[in-house]
Amino acid sequence: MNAQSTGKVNNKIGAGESAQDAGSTNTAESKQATSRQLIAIIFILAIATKMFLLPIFLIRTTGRDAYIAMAIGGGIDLVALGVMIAAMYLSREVDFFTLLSSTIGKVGAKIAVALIGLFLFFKLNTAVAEILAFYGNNVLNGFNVSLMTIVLLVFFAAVGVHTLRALCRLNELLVPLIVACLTVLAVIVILTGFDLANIFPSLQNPESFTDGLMRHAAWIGDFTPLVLFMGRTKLKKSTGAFAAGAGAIGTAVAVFFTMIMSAAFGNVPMLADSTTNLSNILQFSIGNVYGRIDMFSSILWSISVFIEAALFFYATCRCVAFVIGKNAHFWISLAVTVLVYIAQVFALADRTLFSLAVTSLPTSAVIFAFTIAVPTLAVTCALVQRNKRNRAERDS
Amino acid sequence: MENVERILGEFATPNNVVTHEFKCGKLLGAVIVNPDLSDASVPRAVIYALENCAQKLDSLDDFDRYALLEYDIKISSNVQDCINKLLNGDMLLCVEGDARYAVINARSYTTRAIMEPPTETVMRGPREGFIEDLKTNLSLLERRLKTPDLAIDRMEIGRRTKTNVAVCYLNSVAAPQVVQKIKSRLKKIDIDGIVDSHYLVPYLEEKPYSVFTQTGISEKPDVVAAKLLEGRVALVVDGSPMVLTVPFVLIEEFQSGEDYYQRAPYSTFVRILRYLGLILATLLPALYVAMQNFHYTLIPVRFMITLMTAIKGLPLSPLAETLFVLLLFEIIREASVRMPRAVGMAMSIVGALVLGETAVNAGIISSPAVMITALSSIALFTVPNLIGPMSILRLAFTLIGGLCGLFGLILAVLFALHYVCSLNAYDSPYLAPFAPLVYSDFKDAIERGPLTTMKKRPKSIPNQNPTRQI
Repeated sequence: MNAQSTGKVNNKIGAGESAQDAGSTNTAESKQATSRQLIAIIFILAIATKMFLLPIFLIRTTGRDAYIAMAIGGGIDLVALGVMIAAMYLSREVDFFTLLSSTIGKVGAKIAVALIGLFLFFKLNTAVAEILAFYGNNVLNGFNVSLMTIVLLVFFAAVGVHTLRALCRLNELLVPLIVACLTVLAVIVILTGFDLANIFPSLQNPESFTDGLMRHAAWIGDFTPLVLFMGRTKLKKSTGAFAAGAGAIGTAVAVFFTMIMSAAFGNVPMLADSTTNLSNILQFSIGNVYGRIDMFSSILWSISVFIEAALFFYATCRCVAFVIGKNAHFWISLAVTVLVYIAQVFALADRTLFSLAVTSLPTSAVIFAFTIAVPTLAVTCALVQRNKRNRAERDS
Repeated sequence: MENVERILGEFATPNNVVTHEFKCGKLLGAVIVNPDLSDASVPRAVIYALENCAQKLDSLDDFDRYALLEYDIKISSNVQDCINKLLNGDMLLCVEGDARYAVINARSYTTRAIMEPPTETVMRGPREGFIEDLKTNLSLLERRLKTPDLAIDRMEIGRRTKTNVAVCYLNSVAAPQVVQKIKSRLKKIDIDGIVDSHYLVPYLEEKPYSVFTQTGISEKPDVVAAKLLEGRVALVVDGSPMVLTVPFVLIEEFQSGEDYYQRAPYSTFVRILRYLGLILATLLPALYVAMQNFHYTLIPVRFMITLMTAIKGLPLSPLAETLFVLLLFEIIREASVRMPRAVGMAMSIVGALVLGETAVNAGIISSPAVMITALSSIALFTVPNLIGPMSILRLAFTLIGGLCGLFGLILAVLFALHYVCSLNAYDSPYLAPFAPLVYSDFKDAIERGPLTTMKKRPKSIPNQNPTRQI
């Protein structure tokens, strides 16, 4: 049958992003993310900062049981992810901010979003501090941190002024590269025959990994920015299962690489410092026998950290936009950029102090609370609204 | 005659047009013609036909009805419209006592012959190229698309140039909202003149300041016809051999018309080379500088020793040296393009041999920097349409790589990719089918699948008829 007679327009892009959606209209509905993009983002959130410096921080606190602490932390995040996915299914059409406003009122919603924004700002600063610590001390030794921060923030500002869809597309484009690099690293590690026996005996001091987990709770709650995807993602029946699977695989990858780090440094945790991550461990264990593939792979996989931090930045900006009630993306991005710069270059210049602040138990408790509270709030609001809708339908 | 005076009064120099008066029975008439744009034989033939007509002629309508049957005639009373027609080469015919004019098609101007376009030469496939004549260009398209479904909407753009623009699309294939959007944008253009199709580009693009072009440009009718078959819209502008096509996605830059005339595996291989060439062209100088400045541990030891020997004693830093060579290359390229061909050759020799060789021998620049730039530049030419944007990106990446190492370079690449990801050209994601992923379009992205597998139109381009066979 001639399509003209049916009047249908074939503008379906990929799994759900339609060509019409990709247009220049400014409605929220028209800028939806696809299921595939959501799954890719979840995978990145599961691995990025968890694989960057956290393993070595945990090793320093916990010793060879670091991977258990990582598994528990990852498990908590997976529970939060599950709740968040449930919230997304419950509220397919309405975005988080609207949902919150219609459930707890506009003022209440603004207060809640302001608190979530602060949490995201904290997570953003943690990620930025990690990036600067690693690159400043390791890859670009002695480099001007101030200049590095500016370069990083320029990228974030660009993300802030564009749509979530653009960031999702960027992530979708880079995920295959990141997965390939991680596979190369895993193969190299396995081929070099790292001694897994070094992680045993385990659980000799159960308090230590509990302590490690509590002190590094700032590294959980990575799925919180997913509230932005509520009502803005084209969900299919299978999306939930795939999204949970992506989170689980990402967490498993993070635990696997932490095991490798534990096997290498578990007995000598004092050798590891904030400049150590996968790239060092590979050089340390294989002595560059694979040329520079390992280094390139390490550098390339760390792109995921930039993307995760950019998502935190974007989410912070959108929270600010909701609180002030203006969609001035450029000015909000600029303001958040300046705040991050001030925080990084002036307030957090002393990395030791920063590290102490981040790993203090009260901070960790607050972070832990937000990790659980935000998805719970999202799912509760979605349930309340669904019940309201059902009641209204019954009444009518 | 009042009618003639009314027309001549509109011209700054009335001698631009020629008038011939004649008598037809009792009627006094005149023809007005622009001798530079019209066929000189038409006025003569018309006057002869009118003066010798056996039928009694009382009005302009009678001229059309009885005497000038073989001519394309339209009667109009709109003076401005008639002047526009006159300026396009048509002839005006008027009679005393009647305020109307008969517009007779007498257009005839010299055009160059159809030849192979220099920007899209092929070893296999059609060698015809568009020329500067709208009518000829449309005929080239119509010859390839012999279907009543081919819609050609004409409009005039430019207050002074009144350039004819034809919007061509397949009515049952192109998405109506895209066609509508293009037409409305064209109608909104308020400019004194359009002298080439490129003048329309910034009006058609959503981000006119972008370094990336969001409009397809081709000189080949076969390429434009193929794009129309995929649901795109073509804009043919009178006076320009360049036909614009929208929507446009980035992968089109990597596709060549010739890809479809060669064996599929070879075309796929060539496409992969183009992608690799582009990556090499934009990132090689930046990686070279970043590694020298910050990450020399990444360079293998043997290569490092060779490099150290080559750069020993250079007065310039690696960044300054590479930027200098890159800029030198850009200057030589620009000079070679603008110069007459014979001088351009000499210029290339002077640039490459004299400047390059002498600078290396004098110890101002190193041979690895020259080699890296040369390799990058040759790689750049694998995708000729992207030379402009990629030259800018290459310089920017080199600068950032030199100042901030791999950290800055990765961020700069992410910045550029994110920007490209945010672009949408007429409801088509610019980076499709890679971001967002459109699996079905992959058969004509990196791979060039056999034509037998391309039964569906690309999903990246909005269309209302997904199957090619319908």
